[in-house]
Amino acid sequence: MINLFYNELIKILFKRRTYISFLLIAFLIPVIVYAIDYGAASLQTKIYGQMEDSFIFIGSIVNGYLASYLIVAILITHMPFLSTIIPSEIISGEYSKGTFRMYLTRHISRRNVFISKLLIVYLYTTIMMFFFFSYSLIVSGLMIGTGELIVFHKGILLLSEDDIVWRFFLGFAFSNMVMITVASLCLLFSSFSKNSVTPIISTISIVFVGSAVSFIPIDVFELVNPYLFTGYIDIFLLAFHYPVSYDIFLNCAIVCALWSLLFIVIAYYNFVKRDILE
Amino acid sequence: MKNNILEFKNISKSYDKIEALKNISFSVPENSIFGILGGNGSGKSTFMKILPGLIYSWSGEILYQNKSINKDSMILRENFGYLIESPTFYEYLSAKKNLEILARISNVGMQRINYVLDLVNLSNRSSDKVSSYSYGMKQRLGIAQALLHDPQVIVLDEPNNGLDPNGIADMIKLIKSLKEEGKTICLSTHILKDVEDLCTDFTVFKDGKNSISNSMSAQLLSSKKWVINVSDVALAITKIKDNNNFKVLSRHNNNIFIESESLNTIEEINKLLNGIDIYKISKESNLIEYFENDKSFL
Repeated sequence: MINLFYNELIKILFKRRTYISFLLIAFLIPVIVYAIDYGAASLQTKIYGQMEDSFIFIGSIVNGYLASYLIVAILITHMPFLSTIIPSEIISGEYSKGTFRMYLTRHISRRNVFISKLLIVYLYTTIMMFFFFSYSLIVSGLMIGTGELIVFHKGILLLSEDDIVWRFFLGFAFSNMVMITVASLCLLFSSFSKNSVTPIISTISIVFVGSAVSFIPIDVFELVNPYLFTGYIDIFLLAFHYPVSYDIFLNCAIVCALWSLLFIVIAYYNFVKRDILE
Repeated sequence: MKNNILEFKNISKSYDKIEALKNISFSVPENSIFGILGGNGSGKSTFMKILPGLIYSWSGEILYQNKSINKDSMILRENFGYLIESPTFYEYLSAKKNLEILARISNVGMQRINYVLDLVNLSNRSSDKVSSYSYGMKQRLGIAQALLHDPQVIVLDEPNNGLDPNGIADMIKLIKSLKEEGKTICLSTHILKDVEDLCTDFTVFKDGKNSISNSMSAQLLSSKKWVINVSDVALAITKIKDNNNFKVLSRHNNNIFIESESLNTIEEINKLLNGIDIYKISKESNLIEYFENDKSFL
């Protein structure tokens, strides 16, 4: 099993597409942080403009934590796309290139091959999400310093400097669960597909429809939304509420786990029983 | 009498309503070079994919060393080396890295990689990415990966595909040397000459059915066709035509292709062509008749 896992690791480490998401994040975040810093005064006016009649702000409220909060809040909705890069190809790519004809004729079980691929997908997703959160925090902190974080939740919520980082980690942990569910869905499509584009399009389409359900305020949609993993894509924001609604985080964990399990079971049976004709 | 290392009983496979394999049954003798001869769409590639478990849904029975093997068994992968259809590799990796990946899951030491790369003359290009390889080089690398774990049975699907004449000669030499080492080689091909030159036993696939398997020597013995290379072709043809036991089929340069009424011996032909310099007399196989005669198929 360790050898299979190591093989999958080698396969993705030598692929260029593995680094696309990291390069994108590495490039985009400093640019956004710079832009936030450059436009700090105007940003502050836009955010707190209406309250300037009642409050006097001394100094700047724009700091690395606010920048990270804004970056994650904005970019998190795009992370499902980056989460599909590896799972979309990890099975379908081997079908289409015919490498399974060589790999699966060895003294290994398809079950173990599937597990090794699944572990790699989860590892990749987690590392990517961790990189996204930590890089955002580090770059923002280094470029514009740290301080207290002001967010909106039932009015203005001022979070002290020592009450922020753990919230980012909480947000990371549960956002990662959602992205792992997205990756599982993509892996499912990958197990059926003969190319790596179809799984991406199919996954993103489902995420898009699910997100629409979350955002459209219709009774029926509001009823089903808590049971959809797509309803938790922006769960990161809830980590910055006071008090933190842990019951929603628990719901998120259960919903994501159940959906992931369903996707994996179907993908597994399809992978194990499928005739390799390509 | 050799033991059979492999036996197939009533192997059938359908794709929706198309029957790709219809009760394929034959045995592969131990330490033989067994040819599966068939045209395009005859079902031989489908059959080749059943052995390593690439095709999962099929019916019938496979016996390895007289023991029935179930579909999930690892025996047919542990003791077998496969090159199925065209060779496929992780093109963005080097040949050596590709073999390392396979060695890791085959419990094979890294020194074996160098050995098989040497065997197929790819040592000097082993660090290059496979994407830079020609088709022939990939085919040779395909053989190397099939031999990596030193299997007892080697299954090769059209091994001469894409090879130049030197490559084909090397491949034939390699396959024969593997037989010398005691291996059993099972190869599929659509080229009659491959089977005639290389195989000790064969079966013919046609429309998903197969003919009774036969040994090449028995097949040659039963053949009544000969090819004779002589100095004076015109005189030889006249002499042959004057004899009621022989019929001239065709001629090409100094070769005359003849058919006899009975299973004649070389001595009879020598006697017939007395006075003419004979450079070569050999029997021609009648494999083509298997294709043409539907009654050959089970």
